[in-house]
Amino acid sequence: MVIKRNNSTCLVSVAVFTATLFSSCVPSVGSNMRSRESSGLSSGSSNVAIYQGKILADNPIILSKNSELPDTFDLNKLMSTATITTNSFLKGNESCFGLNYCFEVRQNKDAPSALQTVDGKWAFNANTPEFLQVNTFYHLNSISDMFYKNLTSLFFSAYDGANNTQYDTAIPLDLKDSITQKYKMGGSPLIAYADCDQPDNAYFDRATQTLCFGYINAHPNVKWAQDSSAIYHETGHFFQKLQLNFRNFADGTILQKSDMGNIYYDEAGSIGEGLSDFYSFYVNGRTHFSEWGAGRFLQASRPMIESDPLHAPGLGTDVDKRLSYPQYIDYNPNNPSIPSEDIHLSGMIISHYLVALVQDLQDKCNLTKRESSDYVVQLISESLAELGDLTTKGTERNTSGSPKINLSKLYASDWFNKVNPINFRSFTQTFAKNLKNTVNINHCSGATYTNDQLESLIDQYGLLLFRTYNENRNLLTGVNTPVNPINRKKSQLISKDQIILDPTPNASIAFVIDNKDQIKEGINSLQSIGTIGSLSPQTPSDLGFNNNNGKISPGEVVALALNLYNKSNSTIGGVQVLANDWNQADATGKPCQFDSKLTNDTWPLKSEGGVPCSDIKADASSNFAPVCFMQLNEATATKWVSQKEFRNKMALDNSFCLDSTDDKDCFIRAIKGADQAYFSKINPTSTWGKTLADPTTGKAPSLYWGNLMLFEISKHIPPGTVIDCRMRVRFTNCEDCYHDKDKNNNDFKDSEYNGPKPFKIIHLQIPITD
Amino acid sequence: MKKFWLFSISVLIAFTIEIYSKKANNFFVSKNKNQWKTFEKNSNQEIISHKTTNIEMQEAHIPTTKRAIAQEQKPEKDLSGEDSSNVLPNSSNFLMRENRVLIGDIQKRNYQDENIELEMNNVPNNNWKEILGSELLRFQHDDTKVMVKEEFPVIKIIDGKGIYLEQVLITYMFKNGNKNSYRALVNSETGLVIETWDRTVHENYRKTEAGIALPIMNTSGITTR
Repeated sequence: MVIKRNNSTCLVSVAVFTATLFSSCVPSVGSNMRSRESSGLSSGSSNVAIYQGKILADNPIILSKNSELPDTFDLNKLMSTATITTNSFLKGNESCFGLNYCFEVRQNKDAPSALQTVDGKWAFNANTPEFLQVNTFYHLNSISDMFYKNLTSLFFSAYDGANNTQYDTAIPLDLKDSITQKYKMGGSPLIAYADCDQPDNAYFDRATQTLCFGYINAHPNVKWAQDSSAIYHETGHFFQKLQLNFRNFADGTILQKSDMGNIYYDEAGSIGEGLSDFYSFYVNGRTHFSEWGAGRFLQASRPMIESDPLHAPGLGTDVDKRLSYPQYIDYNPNNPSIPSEDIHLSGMIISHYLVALVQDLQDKCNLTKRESSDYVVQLISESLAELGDLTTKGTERNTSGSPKINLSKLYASDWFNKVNPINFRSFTQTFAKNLKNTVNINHCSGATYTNDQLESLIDQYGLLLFRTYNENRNLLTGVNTPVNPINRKKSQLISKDQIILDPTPNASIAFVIDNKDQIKEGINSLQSIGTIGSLSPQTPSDLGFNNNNGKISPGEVVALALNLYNKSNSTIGGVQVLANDWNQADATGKPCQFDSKLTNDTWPLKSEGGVPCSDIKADASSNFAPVCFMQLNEATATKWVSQKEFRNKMALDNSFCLDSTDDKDCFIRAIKGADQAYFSKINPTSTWGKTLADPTTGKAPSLYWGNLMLFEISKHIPPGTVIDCRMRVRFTNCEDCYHDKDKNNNDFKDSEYNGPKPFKIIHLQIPITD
Repeated sequence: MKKFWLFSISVLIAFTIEIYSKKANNFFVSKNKNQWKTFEKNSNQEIISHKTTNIEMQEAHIPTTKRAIAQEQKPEKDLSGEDSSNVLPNSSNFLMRENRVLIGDIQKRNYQDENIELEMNNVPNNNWKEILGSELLRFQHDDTKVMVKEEFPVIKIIDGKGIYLEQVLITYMFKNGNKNSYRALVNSETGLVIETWDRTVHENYRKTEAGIALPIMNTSGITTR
């Protein structure tokens, strides 16, 4: 009897256990893949040892040596065996190089967790989603291994055994927990989806910390995860998030994080793409990105060296044939005759420079390619850590307690994103400073890498756009190290006065778009990517006041683009128009008539309501006035007044303002986030429209939302009112927008960017038309 | 035969229990994730909201609690931090007041001391998240979804005055499968977004948006001086 009872109990237990066991392998909707794998769909497992799997060591074009490999090719023929992981799941290895930070790979959104092996082996048929996960894991692990080891090595370069800085590093000691020795960088692991439902796309979602590798829409069996260089590139975006925020993570009191670019065209985004391409070179040593994923079917692969056969004739590694700024900003090697404003293309200038630097350091400092590449990645880490620092300390040797970069903690995000953002000049200047400060400490064995050599290579790329190394930034009391002007042969600096509104007779000086559907699309797009926040509750959801008459009318939301003209004989690059709040009014809101030392803008005269201003500040809300003033017609005079004063004269209640809690921009406001516009370049004696026009058909380029600023107009503004918006314009290769010839060519301090001096002032006087 | 039936019935019961628990769990995200909320604009232009389901989380590629498996060196109870309410960032040194993170111009006074009076520019509104959801969708096309995760409350000091804010994670999901996420600070009274970061980087090898034709003429009457 006892035996029988035991048998019955045992049977029930076995049944429940079995059911639970099976069901635990089938967690939810994402069960298919894991159950398939459990049922033995893996292929070739018998040919690999435990912990090993099958991967594509490089992308299929490289492995097959066939640049025209068809999408029907059996990729199993190109696979090789590699050690994957000793884990039973596709997760970053347990030690994670001492990091409190790991990653894992999943198939797609339906997969509830990382892929699991049942036999310790990871060999799958190349056509399965399991293979995509294993391949992604292998390459993600490879680049992570290199990146984190490099970071650890950087710590040993930056600090001695007693934690004293070896040079003025931006890598904070607190990035490592002093007890556990683990890095403090966020807390969530990186999740990579290897078989994502995204046609012609891959992305890095910074907020959820996920990577997504899609497929080629016209060839659905061609996946981004089959191309290791695409995996490296996308992971490079994740590394940039870490690098930019090293100091913010370590500080632990900064909520906001620095992003590399504002999504639409800008130079920070361009540099981000160039750096991501460089990460591909960093791992595989090859000077071409994504021949399979981007290149084979989308004609969008990118070279990283001028001798690449994809490049147009005229480019080469000779000093005068480099892919230089600003000439090649809009150059597309896959279609060189048509200019294209795209961050991936302009980013090639940085990737080419970095690859050339790796070669130069090999040659002049007796480094191996690996040593040289490792060092360049360390320089990128140093540079981004400093530029993205929202704590404003900047570097470790700043013990002054004063902000060195990004103005102040309160306004650091605004300065980083808009007022003094990363561009080709600031990135190269900071990078060059770090190279100068460190190369001869322990990176140039048996030789000296001179400032002249450093500057000459940068100049070959047209990027020697700074006159000092700006080591001291806001803390400057003396003189920064100057650049040798003799080394500036190719890089051109142009006066800000060379940019004006199009003077051609009958030409538009500005373009107004007030079409309801177009504006709605713009708001949708900008809001969904997080570029803009909320609009005024006063603005109707149907944009019912937008009348598509090309004029600015009460109640509308309008997009505005300046029609800028380059009157110089050199190309201008990185044009930025700012319509944000700035220190252009006194504490009562009266418009500044600035001292002539600050600007040649004499508007408005005292008789027109102007008050003298000579001191630029940026430490209180009262130092930030809206970009637009109102014309007030009084019995004896016509004056320019603040929107607040205009409201008072109208006796309009606050509650009728665009923001009922703040009447400083009661009637018109540039929507925050869309209060700046970028244009990649403008050719000599030309406009942006003509620069980007198709040279064969003459067809003008389209405007995208990064080229436009958005304004909200109150429905309570009387028709006939005239508004003056005092915009500020600058460009990257500008002689007087970033450094001050009156102060030894030192860079302007951050607070000065809240005034007129570093900018060309351009007024738009806007009639409100019903 | 009896053994066979006993075994079969046991298996059936066990599977039924398991499947039921999975389904129940699948419809509404478990309690410790209920700060995720989905807002949706229907074809009548109405904005409706509900607790975010697991399926929506998956569609948005937002890893659920199992992601925590990958976090090493952390005690079990912290592993679901990403999905539990009012969780501060790891390794934080934040100053706090009223159980809210202090940011902004916080060096000038000891704002942590709640005995020191702090003038506030707004008043928290229990309905802020609903207002935010409506605001994020009011210009969007039908069937666009927005998922909002409340992360933690904040006080920002500007010019010696405070403003109540909420840090949130926002994810847009479009009918065509596109998605975008970012973090934002939101006014606790008005639900309006005042600052964003952590935006998604898309490669988009083919531009998904049509540009706007460069206007030929300026009919706006805008002049310069």
